[in-house]
Amino acid sequence: MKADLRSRSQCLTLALFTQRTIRELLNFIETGNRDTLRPALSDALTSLEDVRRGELPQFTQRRPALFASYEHLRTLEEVWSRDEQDAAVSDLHNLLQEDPTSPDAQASAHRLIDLLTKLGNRARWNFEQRSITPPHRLRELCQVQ
Amino acid sequence: MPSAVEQLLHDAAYVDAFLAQIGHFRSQQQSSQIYVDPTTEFFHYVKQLEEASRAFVVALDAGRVDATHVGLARATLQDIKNYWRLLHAFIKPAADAHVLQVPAPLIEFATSQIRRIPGFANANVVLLLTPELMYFQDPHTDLKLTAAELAHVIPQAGFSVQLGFIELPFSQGSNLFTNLVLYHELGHFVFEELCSAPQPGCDPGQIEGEIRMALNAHWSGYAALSADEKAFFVGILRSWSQEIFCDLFALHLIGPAFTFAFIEVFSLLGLQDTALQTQFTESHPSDALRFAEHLAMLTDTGWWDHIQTLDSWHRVILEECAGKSGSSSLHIDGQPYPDPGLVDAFKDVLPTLRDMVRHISAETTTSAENFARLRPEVESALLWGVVPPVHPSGQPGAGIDPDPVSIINAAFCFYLTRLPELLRNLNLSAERTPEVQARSFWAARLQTWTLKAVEDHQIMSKRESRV
Repeated sequence: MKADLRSRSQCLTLALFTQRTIRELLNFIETGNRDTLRPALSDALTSLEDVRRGELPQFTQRRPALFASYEHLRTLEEVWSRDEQDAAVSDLHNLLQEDPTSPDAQASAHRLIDLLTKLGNRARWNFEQRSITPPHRLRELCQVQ
Repeated sequence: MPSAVEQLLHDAAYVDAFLAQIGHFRSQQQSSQIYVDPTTEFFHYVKQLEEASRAFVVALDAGRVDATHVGLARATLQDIKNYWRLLHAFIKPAADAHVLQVPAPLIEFATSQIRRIPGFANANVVLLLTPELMYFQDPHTDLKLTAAELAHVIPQAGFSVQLGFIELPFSQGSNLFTNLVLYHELGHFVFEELCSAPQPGCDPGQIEGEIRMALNAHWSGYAALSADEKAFFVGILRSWSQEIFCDLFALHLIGPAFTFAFIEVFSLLGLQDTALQTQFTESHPSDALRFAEHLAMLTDTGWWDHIQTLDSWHRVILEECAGKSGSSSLHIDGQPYPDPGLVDAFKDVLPTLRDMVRHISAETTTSAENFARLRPEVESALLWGVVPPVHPSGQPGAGIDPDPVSIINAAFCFYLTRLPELLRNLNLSAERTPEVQARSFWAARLQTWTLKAVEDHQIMSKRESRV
């Protein structure tokens, strides 16, 4: 009955994570306080850097759960181009390291909100899909022995 | 065109009404039925979350959301609704599984076994009834992670620790033998819990690492895949690993009766097609490989010595199917694919899986020798239509423990080999009743007697632990 439960839960977790981070980013833009923002950004940065290096985060190390599953990675690949992934990593670094009152940090926060909104919306769309979509070049991959 | 705030209020009102209906249904069911403790605990969680979700939704009123935050609030509202859509699928099946519809003594015994595993002293399993003729364990880990993320918005969403969900076919509540397949589903529950809280000698993270190494070793193209493609294939091997873990776990806990139940439920008696028996799908390893693992584990634990001469098709199927484990084909999404090395890579992981199961179930394994000693006594009781005694017939210290695992296995062997003898003994020959009907009726009675023995054992154990 709930064969799709795992996949849908993972999509919803990603959507909720993007919402939490957007809330914290808005708070940061309004108050300049990044204390509550730090944990979410660090999780996102570590996971994204692993993905960019072609490493899979361990499924069983459930904290952070971000980008550790096929569903998360597929959503990421669908919605962020390689340039956008690089831009997100760069903005995350800025936000974690720059003076929070600097215009750069503020601009990074705005860009990240846009990127995360796209990611969250796609995760919600994928939540509605009832089955896992295999990689599009599956047959080609299987033929490479 | 309604304003964004107006749309938000509309959505919020819809969610509020939706939650009120769920609350009404839940309280109606709870007031008219009796449930086992884990279900009551689950309904308590649902009730608390209903109240907290409605409080959150109602707070969106009264101009508390300004125009700049409406988009964020609507997305959050949609996520709350989506979480409830996931939970919604559990509530009706849980409500259907009241105490008159489930094999309560078997569940109680199985839960007591699970609680002897290190780290599982507080394990609870919520039973759900499904319209499908199939057993499932619902992957609760991901639901719990979603709940943990939602708890940043609604703190009451956080899930109770070690609460798992297992689905039974609605029609099989009183059936003991087929319900033994539940043990495989309990294995899924244990495996998932171990993913977030590994035990010494039993860490699914180790499997994960070995899967990656094995894929690199057996598939030269693996290293060049993108992260999502790697995740897809690792996910396939992770699923196969979990299935084998669950089979071996079930065998350790309930013995060969699990294999017999597996053959009964999945109608494998009629499945002679080699191509299907050797087929790997994205979710399951082949039946041939699974049975080869069953046979190896039964041999390793000493059970095979006592059942290898069983005059039953179930034993024959097990051996024949296991003998085909050297062949394989790969199907994904219902389509055949060339295997780039997945099956060979998976075989590298099997020794670790076997070790993990031995480790985790060391406290719950029943000796095959005890079964062999108890079997004649159980069979002779059943042959005369008597509930097997839960006190050893020998003198104190005779060393025969009338444990439920031995009783269940002896009864299953009796069912597979001596049912016609029972009919003759009780003078229930085909002259008076068509044989199929007689077999069906007395097989059901046989299971009732066995289940009663399991229940008696539970009662005796509780009494002894109080003395």
